[in-house]
Amino acid sequence: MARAGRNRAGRGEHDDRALVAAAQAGDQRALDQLLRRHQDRVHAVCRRLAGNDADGLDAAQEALIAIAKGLPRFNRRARFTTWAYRVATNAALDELRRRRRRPEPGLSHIDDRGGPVGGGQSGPELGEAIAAAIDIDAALAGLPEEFRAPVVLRDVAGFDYAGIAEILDLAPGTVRSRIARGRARLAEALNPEPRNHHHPGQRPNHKP
Amino acid sequence: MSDPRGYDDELISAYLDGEASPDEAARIERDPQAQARVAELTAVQAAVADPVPTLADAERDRLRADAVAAAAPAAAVRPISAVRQRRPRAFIPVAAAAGIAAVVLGAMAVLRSTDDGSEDSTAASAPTAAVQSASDDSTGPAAESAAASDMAITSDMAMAEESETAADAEDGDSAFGYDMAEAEESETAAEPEPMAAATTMADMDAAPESEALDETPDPADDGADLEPTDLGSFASLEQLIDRLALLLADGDDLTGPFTEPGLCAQPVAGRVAELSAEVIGEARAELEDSAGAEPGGAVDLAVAATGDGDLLLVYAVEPNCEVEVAALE
Repeated sequence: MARAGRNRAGRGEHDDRALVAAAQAGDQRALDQLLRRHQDRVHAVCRRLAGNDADGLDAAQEALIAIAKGLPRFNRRARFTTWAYRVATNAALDELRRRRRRPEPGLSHIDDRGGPVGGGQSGPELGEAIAAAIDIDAALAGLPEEFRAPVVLRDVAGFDYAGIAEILDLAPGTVRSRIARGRARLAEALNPEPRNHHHPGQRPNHKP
Repeated sequence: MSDPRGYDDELISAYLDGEASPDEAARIERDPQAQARVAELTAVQAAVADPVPTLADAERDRLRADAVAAAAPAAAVRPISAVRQRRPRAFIPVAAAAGIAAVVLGAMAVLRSTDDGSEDSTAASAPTAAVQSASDDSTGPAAESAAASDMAITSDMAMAEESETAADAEDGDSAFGYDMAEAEESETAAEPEPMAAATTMADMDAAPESEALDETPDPADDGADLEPTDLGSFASLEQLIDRLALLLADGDDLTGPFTEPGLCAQPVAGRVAELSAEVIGEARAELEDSAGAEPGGAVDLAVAATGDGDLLLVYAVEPNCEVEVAALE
C-alpha cells in the first residue's frame, strides 16, 4: 500500500517533470495540464487558508497565476510540487492579506501558550462536541498564519513535515512544533475553557 | 510542548502524522491520557481535512485559462518593450533641448543666408531639409548644408542627453533612471559592442581609471549612482521581481533611501561579469516573513543589459547567496 502510494507519487513527479519542461518551452497545453493536475489541491489549500468560498476562489486564482507566471523561473532543482505549493501558499496569503479588511471571528482570546484544552471532557466526548459545534473556517481564520499554513499544508494537502519545511522554508522541527501548536489552538477554540464557554454552534464573541 | 496534564502535544501531533519514532509511538499508545489527547487532535485534524466544496467544471476551466493567459508571452515579464515605448523622464528635457537646438540652428542658417547672398536660398530651410534628407538622396550645397545641420542637431542631442543624465545623477536620481537613459542613448547611436566584463561593478573597482570606458558616460564616475536602491520589503521573490518589472515598465526612478550593498552583492556582480552584461541598476530588498515563515533574508539584485539589449535580473538571497538569473524580456 505504502509502496503503491510512493510509486504513484513518483510517477506523478515524473509526469510533473515532463509537463514542466514542456510548459517552460512554451507549450500552453502542457501548462494547462500541469495546472489541472494540481488545481484541486491548490484550491483546497487556498480555501482552507482563506476561510470562505469567495476568498478561497480568489486566492486560488492568484495562486494558479503565480505558478503559471513563475514557472519560467523554476529551476527544477526542487520538486515541482514543493516549489508550486510554496508559490501558491505565498500568493494565497498575499491575496488574503490584501483583502482582509473586515474583522474576523477567531482565537484572539487564546494566549500564545496554546496549551490546556478539554474543559473536563474526555477525548471521545470532546470529539463529538467538536463535530457538533465546529466551525473550522472561523477557527482557522483566527489562527495566525504561521500556524495556519503548516496545519493546512499537512491536513489538506497531505505534505509530510519535510515537504512543509521546504515549502515554508522552515526547519522540520519548527514545522512539527507549529503544527502541534496550531492544532492545540484549534482544539481550544473549538472547546473553550469554562470562562469562555459558549453554547455549541455559537461562535465565540471576541469583540469588547 | 509539554502540557501540565502530562502529555506532549508536539509528540502526539507527530504521532498523528506518522512522524513519531517507534519508541515515541509506543509510549503514546501505552498512555491513556495521551490517547485521549490523540482523540481530541484527531477530531481537529479531521475537521481541517474535511473536503472543501468542489468547484464546478466551468469554474475550474476558467481559473486555468486565466492563469495560462496570464503566463502567455504578451503578459509575461517583458518590461523592456514598455520601457522603450515610454522613455524615462530624462527624455522629455532632452527632447526640449533638441528642439531648441534645432530652432537656434535654423535661425543661424537664416542669418548666414541673409549675410551671404551667394548661398542658395534653399539653405534657409535647412532644418526642414534635414528631415527630408533622411528620405531622399539629394546632393549639392543644400543637401550638404542640411546634412551638416542634421549632424549638429544629433550632436547637440547627444550632448544635451549627456548633460541631462549627469544632472539627473547629481540630483540624486537612481542608477536605474540614469542608466536607462544611457541605454536609450546607446540604442539611438551606434549599436554597442557587448560590454566587457570590466564594465561590471566588481571589475570597475579594480580597474585603473585610465582603463575606464570613455565613449559613454560611465556610471562609475559618480559613486552615488552605484549605490543600490532600497526597494523595501516583499513577501516573496516573485513579488519582488514583478514589482521591479513594473517599475522598469513605468520608467520610474527608483529613488529612495539608499542602503549599503549586502552580503550577496559581490556574487551577483561576479555573475553579471560572467554574463558579459552591463549593470544598469542595482537594488537591495528584504524578504518579509513568508507564509508566516522565518524572515526570508535580503536580496541583492542587479538589472543588467547584455550586448544584444536583453535585460537580465541577476539576484541572490542571503545567507546562501546562490545567484539566479531571470530574463526580463
